[in-house]
Amino acid sequence: MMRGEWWALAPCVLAIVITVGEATTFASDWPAYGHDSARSGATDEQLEFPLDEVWTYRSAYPPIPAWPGPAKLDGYNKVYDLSDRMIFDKAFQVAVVDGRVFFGSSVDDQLHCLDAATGDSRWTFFTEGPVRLAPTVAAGRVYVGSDDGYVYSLATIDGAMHWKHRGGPSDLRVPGNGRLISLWPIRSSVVVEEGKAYASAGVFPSETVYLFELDALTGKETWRSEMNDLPSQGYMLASSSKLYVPAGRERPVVFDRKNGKRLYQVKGGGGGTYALLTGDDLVYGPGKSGQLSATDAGHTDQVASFSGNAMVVAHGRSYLLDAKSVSMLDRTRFLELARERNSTSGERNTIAKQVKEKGKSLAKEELRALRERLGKLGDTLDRLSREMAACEKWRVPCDASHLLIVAGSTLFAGGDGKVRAFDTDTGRELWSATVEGGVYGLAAAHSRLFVSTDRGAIHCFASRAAGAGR
Amino acid sequence: MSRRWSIISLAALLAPLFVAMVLPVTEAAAQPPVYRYLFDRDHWDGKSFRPATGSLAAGTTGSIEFLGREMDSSRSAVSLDGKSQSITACADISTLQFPATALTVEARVMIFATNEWGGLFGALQDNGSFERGFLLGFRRDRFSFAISTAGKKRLTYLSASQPFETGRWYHVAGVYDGTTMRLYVDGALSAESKEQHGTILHAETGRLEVGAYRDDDEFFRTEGALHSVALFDRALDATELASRAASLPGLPPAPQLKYGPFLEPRSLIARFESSPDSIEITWQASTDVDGEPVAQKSVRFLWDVSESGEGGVELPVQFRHSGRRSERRVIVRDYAPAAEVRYRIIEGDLGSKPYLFDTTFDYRVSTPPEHTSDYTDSASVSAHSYAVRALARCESKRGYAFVLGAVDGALAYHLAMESELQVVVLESDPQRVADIRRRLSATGLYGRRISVHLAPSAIEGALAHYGPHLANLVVSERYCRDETVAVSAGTEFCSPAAIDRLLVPGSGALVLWRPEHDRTSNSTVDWWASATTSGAARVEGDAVVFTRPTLDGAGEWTHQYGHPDNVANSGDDIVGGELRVQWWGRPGPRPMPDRGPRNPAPLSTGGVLYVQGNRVLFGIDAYNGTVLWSKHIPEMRRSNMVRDSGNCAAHGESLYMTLGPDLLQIHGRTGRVTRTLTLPETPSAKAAGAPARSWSYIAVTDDLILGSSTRPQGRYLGDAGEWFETEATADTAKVVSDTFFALDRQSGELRWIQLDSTLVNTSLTVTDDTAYFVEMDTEFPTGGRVAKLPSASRLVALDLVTGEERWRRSTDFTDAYFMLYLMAVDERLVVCTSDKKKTYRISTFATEDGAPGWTVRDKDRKGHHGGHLQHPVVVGSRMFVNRREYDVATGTVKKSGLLERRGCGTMAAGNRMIAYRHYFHGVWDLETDQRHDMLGLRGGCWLGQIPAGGLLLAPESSAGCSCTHSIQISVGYRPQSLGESAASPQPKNVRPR
Repeated sequence: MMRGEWWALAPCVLAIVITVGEATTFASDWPAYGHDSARSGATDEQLEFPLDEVWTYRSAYPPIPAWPGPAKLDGYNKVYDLSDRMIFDKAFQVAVVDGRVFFGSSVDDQLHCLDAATGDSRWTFFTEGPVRLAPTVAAGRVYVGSDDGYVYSLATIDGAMHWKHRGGPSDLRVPGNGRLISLWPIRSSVVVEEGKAYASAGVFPSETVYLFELDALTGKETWRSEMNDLPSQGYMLASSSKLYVPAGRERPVVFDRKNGKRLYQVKGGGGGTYALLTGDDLVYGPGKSGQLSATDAGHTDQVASFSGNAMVVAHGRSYLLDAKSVSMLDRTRFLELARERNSTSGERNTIAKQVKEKGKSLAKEELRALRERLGKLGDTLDRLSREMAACEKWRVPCDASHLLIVAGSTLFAGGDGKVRAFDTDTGRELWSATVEGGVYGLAAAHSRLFVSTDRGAIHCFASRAAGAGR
Repeated sequence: MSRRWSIISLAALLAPLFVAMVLPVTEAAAQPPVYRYLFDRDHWDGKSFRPATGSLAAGTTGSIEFLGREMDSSRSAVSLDGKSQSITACADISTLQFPATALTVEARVMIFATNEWGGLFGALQDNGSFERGFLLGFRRDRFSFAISTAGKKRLTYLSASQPFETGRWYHVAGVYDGTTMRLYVDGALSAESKEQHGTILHAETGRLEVGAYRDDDEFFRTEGALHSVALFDRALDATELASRAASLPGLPPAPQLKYGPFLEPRSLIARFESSPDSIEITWQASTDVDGEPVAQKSVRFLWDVSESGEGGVELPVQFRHSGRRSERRVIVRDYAPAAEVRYRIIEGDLGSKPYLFDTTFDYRVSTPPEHTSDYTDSASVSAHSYAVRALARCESKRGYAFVLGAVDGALAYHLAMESELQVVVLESDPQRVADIRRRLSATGLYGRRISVHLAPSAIEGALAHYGPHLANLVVSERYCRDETVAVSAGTEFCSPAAIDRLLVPGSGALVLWRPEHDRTSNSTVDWWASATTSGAARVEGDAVVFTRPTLDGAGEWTHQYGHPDNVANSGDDIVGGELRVQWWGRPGPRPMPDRGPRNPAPLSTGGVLYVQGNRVLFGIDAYNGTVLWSKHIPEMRRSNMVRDSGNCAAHGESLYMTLGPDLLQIHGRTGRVTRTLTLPETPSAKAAGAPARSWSYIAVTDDLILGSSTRPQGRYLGDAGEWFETEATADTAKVVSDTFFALDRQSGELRWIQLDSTLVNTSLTVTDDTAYFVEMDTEFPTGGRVAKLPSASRLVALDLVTGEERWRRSTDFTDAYFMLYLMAVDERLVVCTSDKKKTYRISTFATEDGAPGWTVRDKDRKGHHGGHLQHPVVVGSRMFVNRREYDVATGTVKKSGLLERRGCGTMAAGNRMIAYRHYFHGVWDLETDQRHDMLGLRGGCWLGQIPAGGLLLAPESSAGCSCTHSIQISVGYRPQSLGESAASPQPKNVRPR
């Protein structure tokens, strides 16, 4: 799809485009984790099938995530198969711009630049610690954070360093996750918007966690904010006015972009480092057992929740991936109904409480009226539940359950040993491929699909026409 | 028509139906049940169970599986895994009409695993003070029947008089007739209550649930098998119920592979081997009926069996004999990474349970399978030689090595190749740094194994930017490759003090090359001696070596409550003030036990932190968090430390771990099992039919190993998420021992043994010359636990050298309902108990003769989360318990309202601080009276943070907490003052107490 056609798309896509800002200079680029600062996982790049594997990068060692997996069960509450809430560095996530693939390695501490067509190395840049999160590319520069505590700005063309900025108050290095790293590692990635770069440094609230804004050109710090109660772990997100900071197993925290003032921490849901934005509507999770929570713009409370591991919002639709299936939802209508259900449920709970606590002291008529109201509200809730269920337009089985992106009219789902493609309108499967290991990174750009696995491999699949040009 | 005829004729008429539905004859004769379900394949339609009586199909979630052969569909029963399934007869009971005045609820069930709460059939709401409905179920190991009526308006949970056995079919029925509740097990009356009377108060909302205790707040799934359930709208009498219980339907057998009896392999350990890439599993030979080892030909090992123990690949078993021991050994070479695999051992007629091995917990640091190196020239060969010699002088083969000053990276390369160390090269020449990075990167080792850091100016200054005491080895390539120059006062290197600060106390080593000319001048030794450091360097052949001594004032945590005196104080003088993060890393929550069941404390001595995971034992470098080794030990699990003694003790370089009847001595730095001791033989243990015994208490002193024995079933496992803080016997019963003995620590020979006793494990206390305990005059319980101490109890003191009794003092401990702790503080013994009303009693006795001293009583001041179970800590003459400070000498309350603590853990002290958990890891500084909370991290439900080695060590203990604490990881904290440098800004975790 050409850039000029964007305006024909649904308002949600417009929201994505606005949010993306500098990070989407070219329509077919994938300049950051999740494509953009909203981590939307959505691009208008349309790949042609079939796709063939044209090259593979293999690391000497598989990535060793900073945070080992979750407990096997919550014994007291009898919850099994707890979700992993710290999932940002299981694979080498890529950014793809101008025919180049950029990724950081938590194994060899380097930022790599590969030729997107051939997989050949163009250049590498050594940091002094694991690079756990994807770089961000904007205006001819690549921005990356490292466990060595620094944010780096490099030239995309040759990796020459423009500047580096230390996020923490000192250079103190200690053993962390089996490596000697800064006590204030950069674990947020770098968000670049409107000439500013945003990142955070630190893990332990008792050591203070720092959030800061830098001039993207010079690296000069323009503001700095501190957290003494929560860590910053996971890909930071940005809307036009706010920064959303995943806080490890906790729920994300929201900051004002212009001055770093902490606004609020979202409520409800179970926390986790997975998050995406549509405008200022935040979806995050996966909570303790695979639950994505949605909050409205500017609101702290959860408006809806979804059983699933990953979601993509595009064209006014939500695509949801859970352990067994992928589905499509009329998002706009669903959220309308969810809001109505929340208010109805709130009223019902209030009346039920009133009946329970004061029932004996109420006049008979009054009690009867309240009970009638309760009945009607119950009917309303039943209707809303039915209508919300009807918002699901299609659902198809899918055993690739780790992550989801949308590229044009194609959904790509990654899972253990496989990647699968589905038609966004019908859910019909279009293509699939097998890879070794679990797929935890997907990016679509330049007629290619980039698949990152927990074995430390990046597989490049290309349509036959594009592949022939390698 | 007489009643007799009506029964016969009706039975004859419906006989075929009866066969299919396995209904007892009497049921059809009388009024049928309102609801009845048969959970066999015949009634399963793929989504729900068709009702045998009534109109409600029971919907299901999760994957439904059956016991019994598929071809014999009527002789089957639904198998419930307790995790993922649910069976719901009605999801909204508001439309149902339940019996109003009398009912009988019935089930035919086999329980596989006990649980805090269990449900079979019912509909109830037990939410705070709102208690409605009925439920047939179980509580822990007893069937129960609950109902709420107008007469009480609260639920009564009527429990069976006897525990049930897992893996056995039972007929269970709860009956309410308007005035009396009765619970029948297999047709016999088991319990009765008149607490309830009047009409039944049913829940207005909720579910009619099968196989689970489920209301709005809680959902406890049952792990077992259900054949049928039924609800009658009348009270069946004893005759009817006896008849129903006796009418045996075709019930499938319990799955033998899952529920035994089992072989219990002794000293079973599974671990990763460094080289080659393999897993080693070892165990000791079992004996046959004549006491001889089972013949080798009947020993089999099956790898990758199913969860129920079926299938698997048979691997060859190796046999090794050493003295009286015969060891079996299996090497597994082909295994999947990051996967759960089960294995079984079969010896003769018996097979073991399937044991779990999780290959995720592989902490080895390996070289990449494919790597290339150009470090092959002669200079590199000499670097290899130097690396090998340096490693020979370093105790640690995992951890961190620093190369200060580089030439070409060859030394770092060979150090990495010859060890599992993480190598950090520090070099100040940017061009050289770039060259070495490129060269090492080509080997595939860069990053994961070796990293090169650019020192902005001199190495001396750069070292200040590393945390203190984290290097296991320090070497210099610059001074090993240039064999004409030695490190001396005139060379540009770095100061001895900077290296002294960097090395791990107790084992970290500096190894510097000693060129030929230096062997007479000793300039390197002089260079070291010219500075103030913690000790002197020594000459070892061609090298100058400095091994950093331990930190002055560092304490050790060697036993469950610090030391054998149980005062929960490590004696550490260093930890205090503001704390910084020294290290963080594995283990995370995955290999750890659930945080609730009052798990054993971590221990630390000799710079090694010992951590018990869920049947995985870890040795961790206390100063840098490196996992030195780990072992899967399936039978080591122990919990409920409130009622049992710890299962291991540390001394010097070793950990002593009890395991079945054995005690394993494990070398701290390597994890090697250096010795296995076994319980002393006793006349009663030799007798025919004598019950099995296991090593229970363990304490180690400089001279002795103190131990006790009990029944294997005495130990608590805590695998079902228990918190062990209710007043139920299943929580409060105290583990007791029948023998108490001392072995010579060096030779392992028996010094003395006290036989035929019944002594409380948590009371065993050892000082320099005396052992103390609480003993009772009761026959030793077959289960190895005592719920209520008899009035005929006594405090006993034994001479530690001879085992002879020094004194005994009859004392009444009948109020020790929840717990009984004993501590030795100077010339006093302190006994701490709490009674059924959760009132603490703290009493003192003279160590000299047991003469009683002061006693105070104090109501639980916390009121939740185990407030009534806290173990006191003692710092000098100050004793802290139940939010009060006492003067140990007088019992005077010095302060009240101390240490608000929300969490369920207990405290641990050093001489300057008390570690505890409020919401997060926390420390109360006794000198400044300030509290330091490390937000984001929570501890577990017992003693999980220990001050030792000058650090506060907090291995991950919050596993399974579904709360949103933001971080779950193991952490070592250091006091700000330890190794303070300019790179260490002040933390902001200080709060007013």
